[in-house]
Amino acid sequence: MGGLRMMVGGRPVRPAIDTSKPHSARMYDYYLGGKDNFAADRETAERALRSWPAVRTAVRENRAFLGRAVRYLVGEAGIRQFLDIGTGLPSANNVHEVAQAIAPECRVVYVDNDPIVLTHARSLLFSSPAGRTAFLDADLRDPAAILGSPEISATLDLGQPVALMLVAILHFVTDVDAPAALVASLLGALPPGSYLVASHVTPEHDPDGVAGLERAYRQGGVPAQARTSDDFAEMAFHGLEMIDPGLVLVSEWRPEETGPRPLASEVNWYGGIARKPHD
Amino acid sequence: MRADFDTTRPHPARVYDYLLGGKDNFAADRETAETVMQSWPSVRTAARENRAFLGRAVRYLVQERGIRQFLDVGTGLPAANNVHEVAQALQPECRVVYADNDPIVLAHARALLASSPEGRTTYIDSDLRNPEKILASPEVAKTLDLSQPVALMLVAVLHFVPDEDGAAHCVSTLLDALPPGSYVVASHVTLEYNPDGVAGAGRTYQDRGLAGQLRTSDELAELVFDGLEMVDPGVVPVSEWRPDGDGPRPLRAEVNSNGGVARKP
Repeated sequence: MGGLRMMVGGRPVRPAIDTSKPHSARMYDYYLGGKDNFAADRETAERALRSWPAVRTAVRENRAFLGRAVRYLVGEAGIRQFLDIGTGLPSANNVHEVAQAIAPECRVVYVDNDPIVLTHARSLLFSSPAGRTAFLDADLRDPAAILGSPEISATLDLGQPVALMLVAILHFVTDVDAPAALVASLLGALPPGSYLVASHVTPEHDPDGVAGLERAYRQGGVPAQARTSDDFAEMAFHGLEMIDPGLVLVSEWRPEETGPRPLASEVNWYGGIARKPHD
Repeated sequence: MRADFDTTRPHPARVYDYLLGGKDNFAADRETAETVMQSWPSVRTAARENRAFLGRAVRYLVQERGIRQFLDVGTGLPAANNVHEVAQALQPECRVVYADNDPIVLAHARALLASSPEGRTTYIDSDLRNPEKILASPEVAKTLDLSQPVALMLVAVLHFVPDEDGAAHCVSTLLDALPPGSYVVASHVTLEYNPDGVAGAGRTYQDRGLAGQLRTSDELAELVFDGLEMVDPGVVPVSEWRPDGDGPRPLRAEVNSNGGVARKP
C-alpha cells in the first residue's frame, strides 16, 4: 500500500477515493445495514451473500464479539488502551464507546486503510473528555508506519499494556504478506500484559459457501483468505496465553444472552483473546 | 401417537426445529426448510430472533408485570428459552401449560415437563384451531387459576391459521377465558419488509399442504391486540422489541416477523 501514497504537506495521502471498486469495510457496512457504501460494494456483497447466505449473521456476531471482548478487557482485565487496526465504518460497538462507557479514561487509536472510514470516523467517533481517540490512515501490512506514527505516540503509553484489536482483518492479508510476522511486529512493540483480540473467517464449517465468498471478493479485487482455526491460532496466538474459552466461534465467545445461537455453518468465524506473557 | 403422525410430511414445529439447529426433524422437514431458505435466506435469523423475543417477553411479564401463569399455544420442540425455564429461573412458582398439535412435540414433552418443584408444567396435545378443547382440558384446570392473570403466548403460530379457519375466533375465545390483567404475546411473519422472499417461503409451505396466511403489522394488531392495552413499543419487528444489549441487530428484511405484547384491560 505504501507505494500508492503521495506526500502532501508532509503527510501521506492517497489518490482520490475510487468508489468503482469494492472495499471490505464498505461491504461490511452494507451487511450491517449501513449507508456508507457504493454500488460496487453492494454488488460484490450480494454475490457473497448468494454463496454464504448467513454472512450478515456472521458479521453481526463478529461485531458483538468485538463488543464483548472490549468489555472483558476493560471490565475484567484492566485494559485502558486500544490499538484497533481495520476499524471499519462507525457502527454499533465502536471500541471507544464500549470502553469509555466502563472507563471514560480509555484511549483508542483507530487505524484503517479506507479513506472513507477515516472521514466518517473523525466526524463520528468522539472521545469522552477524560479519554482520547485518534485516527490513523495506515495499513496492517505496514506495521512500522503504524508504530512510528505520531498518533500512536500522542495517544498511547507503550510502557503500559495495550489491547491490539485485529478483528475481521487478518483474512484480508494473504500468506504472501506474511501475516504472522505482521502480528509479531505489532505485539513486539507492546509490553507484557498486553492483549491481542483477533477474529478470522474459517472454511471449516461451510467450505463451499465460504469459498464462494472468497471468489466474489477476489473478483472484486479484494484479496481474501479464509483459514482454519489451527492455522489462525498458529498465525496470531502463538506463544500467547489464551483467555478462556480459547479460540472458538465468535458467537460462542462468552455469549451474554440465553437465546438460541447461530449454527457454526452460518457463523464460519473464529475469535479469541490472548495475553502477552512476561518473559 | 396419534393417527396423523406422518414423518413423510413436514410439520411447522419440526421445520422450526431444523432452522434452530435442532435434531428432532425428518427429511420432509429439512427439505421444506432448505427450500424456504432459497427464497428467504435469513430465515434462521428470523427463527432465532423470534425465539429471543419469546424469552424477553416472558422475562418482562414475570419481572415487570408480576405474571406467574402461562398458556403457550404452539409450543414447538424444546429449544433455548422454553417458557417455563425462563419464567421459573426468575420465579420458581410459575406455572405453564404447553399446547401443540405435533405428536413429536408430545414425544418430547417430558423434557418440557421438568418443572421446578415449586411450579408446575403440563402439556396438552391440542390445536390452536380448537380453543374450546384447550380451555376445557383437565390440564388447564389443574395447572392454571383462571381467576388470576395469565399470559397467553401465541408466538409464531397464527401465521399457520388462515382467516377462514377462524383465526379471530381462536384468539378471542382464548382471551375471553382469561381475567382482566392477563396478557397476550404474539408474533407473526409478514410480507412488509421482503415481499418476494417471504411470499416464496409462504408458497413453499402451501405447496406442501401447510396452510397459512401472512399478515402485516396492522393485520396482526387487529387480529390479536384490538381493544387491548399495548405494551411499549407496540407491534414492531421481533428483533426490535425491547432488545437486550447494544450490539448490531438484523435488518427488518431478514427478520420479517412482527411481535407485540398487550394487556387485557
